[in-house]
Amino acid sequence: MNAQTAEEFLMEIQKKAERGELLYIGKELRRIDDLEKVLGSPIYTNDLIPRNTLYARLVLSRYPHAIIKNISVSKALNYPGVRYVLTYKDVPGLNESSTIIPDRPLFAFNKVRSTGDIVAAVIAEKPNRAQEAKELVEVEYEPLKPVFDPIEAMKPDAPKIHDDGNIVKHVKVRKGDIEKGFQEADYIIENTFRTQHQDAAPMETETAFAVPRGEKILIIGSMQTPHHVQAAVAKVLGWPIDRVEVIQAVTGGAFGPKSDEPPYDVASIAALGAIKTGKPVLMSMTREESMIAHTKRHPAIITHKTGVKANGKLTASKVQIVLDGGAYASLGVLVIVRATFHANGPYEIPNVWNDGYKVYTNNTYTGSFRGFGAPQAIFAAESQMDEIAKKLNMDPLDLRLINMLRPGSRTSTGQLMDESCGLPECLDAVVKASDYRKKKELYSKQDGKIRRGIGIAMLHHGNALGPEGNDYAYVHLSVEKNGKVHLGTGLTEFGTGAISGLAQIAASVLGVPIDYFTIDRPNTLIHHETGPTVASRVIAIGGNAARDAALKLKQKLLPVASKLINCKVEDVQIVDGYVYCKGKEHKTISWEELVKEAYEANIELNTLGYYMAPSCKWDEETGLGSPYNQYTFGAAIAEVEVDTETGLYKVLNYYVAFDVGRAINPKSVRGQIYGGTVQGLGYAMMEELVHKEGYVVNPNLKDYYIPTSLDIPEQIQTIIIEKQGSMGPFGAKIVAEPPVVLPAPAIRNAIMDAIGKGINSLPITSEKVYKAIKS
Amino acid sequence: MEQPLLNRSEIVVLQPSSLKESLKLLNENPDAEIIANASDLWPRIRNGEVKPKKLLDISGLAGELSYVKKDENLIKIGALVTVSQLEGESILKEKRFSGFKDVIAKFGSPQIRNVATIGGNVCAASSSEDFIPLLLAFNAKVKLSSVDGERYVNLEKFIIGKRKINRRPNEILTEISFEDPGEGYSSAFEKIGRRNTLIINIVNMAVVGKVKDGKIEDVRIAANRIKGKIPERAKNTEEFLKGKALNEETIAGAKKVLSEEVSLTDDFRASAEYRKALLLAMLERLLFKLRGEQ
Repeated sequence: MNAQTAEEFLMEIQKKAERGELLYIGKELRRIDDLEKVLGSPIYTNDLIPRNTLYARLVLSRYPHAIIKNISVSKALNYPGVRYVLTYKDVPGLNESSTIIPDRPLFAFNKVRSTGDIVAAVIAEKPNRAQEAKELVEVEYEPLKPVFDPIEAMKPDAPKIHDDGNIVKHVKVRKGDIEKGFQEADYIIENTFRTQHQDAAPMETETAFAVPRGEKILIIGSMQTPHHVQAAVAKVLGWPIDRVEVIQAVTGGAFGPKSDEPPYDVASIAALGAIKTGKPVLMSMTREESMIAHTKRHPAIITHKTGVKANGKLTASKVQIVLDGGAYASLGVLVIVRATFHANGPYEIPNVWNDGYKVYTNNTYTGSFRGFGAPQAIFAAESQMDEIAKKLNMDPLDLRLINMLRPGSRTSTGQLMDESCGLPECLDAVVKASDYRKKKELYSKQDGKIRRGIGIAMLHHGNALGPEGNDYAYVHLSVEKNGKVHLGTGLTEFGTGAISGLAQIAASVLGVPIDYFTIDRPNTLIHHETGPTVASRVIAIGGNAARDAALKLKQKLLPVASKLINCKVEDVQIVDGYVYCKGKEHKTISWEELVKEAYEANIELNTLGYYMAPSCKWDEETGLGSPYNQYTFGAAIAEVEVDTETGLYKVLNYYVAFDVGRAINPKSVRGQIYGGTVQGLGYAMMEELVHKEGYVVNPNLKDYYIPTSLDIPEQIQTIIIEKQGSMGPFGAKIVAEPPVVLPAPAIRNAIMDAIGKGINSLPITSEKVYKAIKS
Repeated sequence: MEQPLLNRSEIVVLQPSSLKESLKLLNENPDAEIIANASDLWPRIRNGEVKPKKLLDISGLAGELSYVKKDENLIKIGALVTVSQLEGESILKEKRFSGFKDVIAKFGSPQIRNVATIGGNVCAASSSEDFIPLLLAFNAKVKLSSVDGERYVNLEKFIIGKRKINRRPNEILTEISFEDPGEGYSSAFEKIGRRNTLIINIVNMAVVGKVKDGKIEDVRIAANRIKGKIPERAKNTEEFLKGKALNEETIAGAKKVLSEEVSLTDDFRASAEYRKALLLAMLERLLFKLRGEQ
């Protein structure tokens, strides 16, 4: 066969991509699943439920820390309509619902460690019956001394939440000579920053529907990572995994918690309930259950000590991050890794000393959430930069220009930045778009009650999993006789549009329009285990697998086309669904004809694409090395207007630039930037799941405030910078998470510009602004 | 789909089609909860705060009780007028009623405005009901109807505590009325919460008054909280302001009086100290609005 080798194809495609010639890359295509969502078609798990279904409700712990002396379910069982009450006694396999560290039981059995712990689940014919019978489950507790402050929890004499100490994970970065760095400094600036519990508040709560099928069980649910849910349920049931089939339903928002442990809980409880009763069971958390029992963004206490020369050059940065992990480890043991590696911000600093701790407390547990430790770390790092600039009496922009990462710089872990470091371009773009210098000058001369301010924030964001696990993906393509292409993968769509992006990549390689594609629903029975859909990695990692699958498919088709149109293989062109020989564009056949011919020639049009990212190397003790294969960069500028009498403020304009390497679909990229920005605005301005002595005060959307359309700035200007990375397809970098990071520090710094004082805790409520002005 | 939270077999829903029938049914079933469109009751049922056995659904009376009219010098608003309907009322578009526009602009979401009624807002009797301070500042009365006849109660006397109203078990609130203060008056309302809409206020305040030739001839001020946990008038502040020139000095004095008059508490939304600061700032802004300034 004289077809081109895959490597030659790849090079050809890469060159085309660089020339901007690839068919659909960089095009603002419609998403494959947009219409049904806009129409509100019945597609979610709750839409699929038949009449004979039973409903489950959770009995949560009454205490943040207590011994369970006894559980009695008999009264609840006798309540009308109740069919079963599940407790730890009903778990045939392992009573465990954990991702990395096996510290969390599905049902609490000897003690409870937070008010989010699940003690029992009532299965009833109607949701209200289950709800009412919850009150009849009698649990006898013996309260233990709790600890809620993570700093207190780190002390040796603090109440122990698990058998070992309360520090679950300690991550270090040790670069250069920190003491020497401080000695070289002209100024040393120290500050402490605090962040809050943020709830992801996806429109759809954690939901799973289980149908008993003889020896097997089928689970349909809302989740990010069906294969992990499959393994978790199998473990609880004590079954081999092939008896558990998990289908990811259309998922109404996820944002991270649905890659963590909560989907294990709902799937396992629905499965157990279905097995015990022989009926389908729906376990769909109420909003209250979800906000108490699922993972949230970790609150953080972050201290910075920075050494700086009078000319603005940073000499040393010492950072301690303490994350309030709540009662369980969750994916939080990886969150602290990302937080610690990004703790110093996107700057070149010769001497670094970081300590990151994830700590157990008796608050409800925290875990994976869009940004994964970066929002806390960058809020502190970028706030600290403005505090340093104030001390030096320097424009914060100039301080950043002196120290920021650029090609040739080294990060805090010593990783060398190559030509794909687009941070200078991002900063320059937002400075120009916002007219920063002029406004800074203008706002410095204000008086009166209403004051404006302008603030900057920047970031680097290590792409995909890096130190968080093996970064691989499978994408399966098959072509039907009529020319339609199926794309199947265990990677999931939950609102980002990334799976459409995979089709866009495959379509570009194959040369057929995206309309030919359908995306199969992820199903553990059909699709390969393909790692989690997290870390914004679908395009950067899955995209390479899609490209691989499409290349393999094309290699099968080119010889067929060559014979069919009598053309040398290397001259066969497939463009927009038409096949022709180079130089004979007037004579074409259709994609359908080509596919039909391949079928007749008995060629199997079925390929599996695979990609595994190069492994990342860093030292566990010092953190030094290259923990990520490539980085996304971003910069934002916020402009605020503050009423100095009341502290009320609004964000007038927000300018944001991201270096995404290569925008596969610019419309989707902007969608992610807008969405992340608004979620980040909520984090900055209002969102806080308030815990009081371990109890959630506001577990509902009436008292937990997420931004409405009236709370966002009139202008969010997005700028896309493309400095191609080494890993992603066509140079693409990740984009979904970083936009959530920048609003908090940018707004905080803009308020500081307006009122002269910095607010070092989130959310920045108008009350905090008021008190800062009055202090 | 999930099943509804209430089973029809467990709850009696009385659905009269006229006021007369309603009053009779209520007289026979004084334990029934009265609902119009249930926008206040429904979330409370859902949260398990209340579990009514009987509901008297008076939404069928919309034809009788959805009016806004001027009768002699009285503005009369039927209890079943929804917030959306109120928005379209021409009488309330006069400058002296602009406080209504201010309330409506920040009232819930369009979906809630389409079903929430002014009667329901008043009967909910909590500090988060934004119409109450405005109606207090208009010196409103409520009309209570029963098989025994009708009686009028000042709104101030009607709301006696958080979610406590001066209503006999067989009475329905059918109308809210207040005297048209006349030309030269104006009104304004402001609400501050942790976001711009769909929000329970941290504080709110309504002012009705008349400023002529720079002098405050008359003023009435009410806020969601003054001393207790229900909306009240700030009468000391009103007395201080009456007859004085509307200027910086008067406002400074009024702020002092108001800050002595209020007694506020902390919750997770805001501290008492900050609530007070906001009330004082609002007082100034609303008084200047009376004079026609933004």
